Amino acid sequence: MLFNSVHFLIFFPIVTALYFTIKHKYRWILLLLASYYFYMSWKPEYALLLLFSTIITFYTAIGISNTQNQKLKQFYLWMSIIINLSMLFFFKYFNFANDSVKEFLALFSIHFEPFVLNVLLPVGISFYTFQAISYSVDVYNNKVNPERNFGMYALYHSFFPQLVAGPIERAGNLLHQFYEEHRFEYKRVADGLKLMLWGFFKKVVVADRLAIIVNTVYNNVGDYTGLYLLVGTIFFAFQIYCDFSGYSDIAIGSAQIMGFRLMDNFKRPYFSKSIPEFWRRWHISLSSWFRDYLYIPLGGSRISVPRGYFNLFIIFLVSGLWHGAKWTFVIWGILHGTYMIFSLATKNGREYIVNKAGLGKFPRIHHLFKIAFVFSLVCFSWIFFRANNAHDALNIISKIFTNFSFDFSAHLLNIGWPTLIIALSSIALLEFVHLIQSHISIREFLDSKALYMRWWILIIIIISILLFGVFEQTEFIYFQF
Amino acid sequence: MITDQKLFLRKTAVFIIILVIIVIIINTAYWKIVIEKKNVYRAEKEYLDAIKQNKIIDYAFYGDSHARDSINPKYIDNSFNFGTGDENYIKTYYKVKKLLDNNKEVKRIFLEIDPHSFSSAPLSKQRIMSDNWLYSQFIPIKEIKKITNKSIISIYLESYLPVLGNGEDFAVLFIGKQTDMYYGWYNDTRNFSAENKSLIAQKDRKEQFTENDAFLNPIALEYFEKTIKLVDENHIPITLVRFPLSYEYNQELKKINFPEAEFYNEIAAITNKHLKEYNLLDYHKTYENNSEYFSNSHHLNGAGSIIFSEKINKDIKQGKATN
Repeated sequence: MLFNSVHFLIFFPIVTALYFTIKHKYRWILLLLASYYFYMSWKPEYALLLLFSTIITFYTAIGISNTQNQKLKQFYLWMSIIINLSMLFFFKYFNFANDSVKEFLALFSIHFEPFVLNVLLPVGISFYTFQAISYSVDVYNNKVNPERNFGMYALYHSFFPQLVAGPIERAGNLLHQFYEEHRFEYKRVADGLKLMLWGFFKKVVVADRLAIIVNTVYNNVGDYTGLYLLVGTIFFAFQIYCDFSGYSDIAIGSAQIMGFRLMDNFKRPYFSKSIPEFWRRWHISLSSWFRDYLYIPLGGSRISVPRGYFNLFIIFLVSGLWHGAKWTFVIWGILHGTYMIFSLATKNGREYIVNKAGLGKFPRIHHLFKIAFVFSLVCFSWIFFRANNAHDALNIISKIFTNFSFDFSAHLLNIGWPTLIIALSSIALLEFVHLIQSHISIREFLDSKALYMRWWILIIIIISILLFGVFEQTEFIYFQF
Repeated sequence: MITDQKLFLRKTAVFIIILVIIVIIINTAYWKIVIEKKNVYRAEKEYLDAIKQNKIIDYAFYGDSHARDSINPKYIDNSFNFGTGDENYIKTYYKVKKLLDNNKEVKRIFLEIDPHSFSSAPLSKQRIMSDNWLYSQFIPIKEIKKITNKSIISIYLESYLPVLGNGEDFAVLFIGKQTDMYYGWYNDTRNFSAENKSLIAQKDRKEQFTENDAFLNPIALEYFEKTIKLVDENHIPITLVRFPLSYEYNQELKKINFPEAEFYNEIAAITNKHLKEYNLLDYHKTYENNSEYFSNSHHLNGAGSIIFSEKINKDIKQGKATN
């Protein structure tokens, strides 16, 4: 079930109304049933995979906790990690691995016809697999006590607001909340609804409208000059941000309505002044997952600098692969790993140059320059992320630098000027809101206004969604990961 | 906490009432400002007016924008142009059915069979059933649901609140004089000869055919066959028409290896299944050397349509279309 579907707009109010109507002790059952119903509306049989992952993770965690034998603890931990990752590998990477072997062998004129697995990728498998691994590791490290109630654990594993695209929640943050009784609080419910509304705006007005232009350009690379490809790439940067952060807002908002606090996933990432800062603001639940469950176990900051850089590179490589079973995602990860290492390695040198050049006397200009530079680097990497294949990505880069002309017609993008104007206006509005957010939280901003003003703002946003939203029920980009 | 719930419900109810009123006002404005200016609405209105004025419709022309732009009923006696932009055979079938339900006197029905008439592009998710505010008036909602795979709620919303998702159409406010229309004919004044012809032809072709198109989409064929059957059951003769295309567009079709012989054989086979005889008028290459007759690579402009309509009228009179 998509958040941007009529189905969800009926499902969610019913679940919420029932949630606040029934007794607290039965609420987890309602949420568990609702979560499985939500998930099964895609492909019912994949709920069995979710259930299998839940059973394995639950019982291995009990195993870890019930034994004092360190080796047995390790056995249970690795059992959970390997089984969960095997499922992920099987459904997501099996064909990719086979195709890569086929292409590699072809270099030596060896013909290899691999078996092709003809199945759809189970929605959200990358997300719930990582959540399951974090739970097993946290239980192993005694950071959380294992959950003894299978149903309650199953709910943590499948909680519908964040099941299919995160935020990837830690048990320490979410599990105990299922035991807390959440009463209906006007302010919290209203704030949750406002957050959901903003998420819908980002998804259906900004992301899905930009997608029309981005898809046209990226699916017909050969037809466009550098300017169109550059515009398409910048639009994709906003599309993917609004698509994913819009999803996260709806997830966090819907959980908040029922009284659950999910972690923030985005903090205005395109205002980052460095690549490390970008990764502290973009897909925070995944970045922190990699930090806690891969970077730190690999040595963190306790090891030599070159080894640390190597580990960082590996993490970004894995992050690229996590996003999708395609070489373009791997290149995207490699690019970010390289940016990160370069950023850390040259930090002192760059500061020295800035001081020598006297740029420090103009902090605003300096900050703007840094924001623009980081945004350019991120956009460059998005080319690989979005391109249909590596050849297209290289073609786009080549055209942006060598086949650039300022001739531009919206007609050539198969859209009218109104669509382009709406797309640009919605980006401008988004950045205006981000600018407000850099001084005051939007909730505080709205609360400081009179009721009629607040309502007008909300009505304008709803009307914008109704009038300018794209209601084709486009899937969220991150559902494919 | 009950107070909180009551407060929430009360405020939400008031908020929703205000919102609904605003949406209704905007939707009404959309009907007046946008829909009443749409060609498909104007064509429908012209038909209803024609019926009121007891206009005789002997020759009914159906198809998409090719038919709409090519046939000027002023130059063809007792004719009406029912062609509308982006029309696929699903829409054509129901439009023909609607005409035959109300007007059994039609002497001949002309159906467009152009290369893209059976392609998958007009049947894509976005294009298969647009303008539901009109089509839901004579196509059963259940049928639209089956065709589009949309929920009943979505179809009702599209039918009664067409402004949803279409706010950008208000840009029509900034468009000056509307294009002339006469009994469904649309007067496009652009001149293709003044444009970069091959570039436009390439773009036009891409709009009409999906990537690796099978050229003969089974759904389009199914509804074409249903249309043929329906017309035959009403004992009305049929003429199939291939409308004029520019040289550049025909070249584009060659580039994508358009299988002309198999394509028309398949259509002929379907038609022969139900009709003992029918006529085919082929004008695909008639104006290949007259790019000034076209508005783009595959639509005649106003001037071209007059010349073409006179020709088709002459052909009808000479019996080429009616034997």
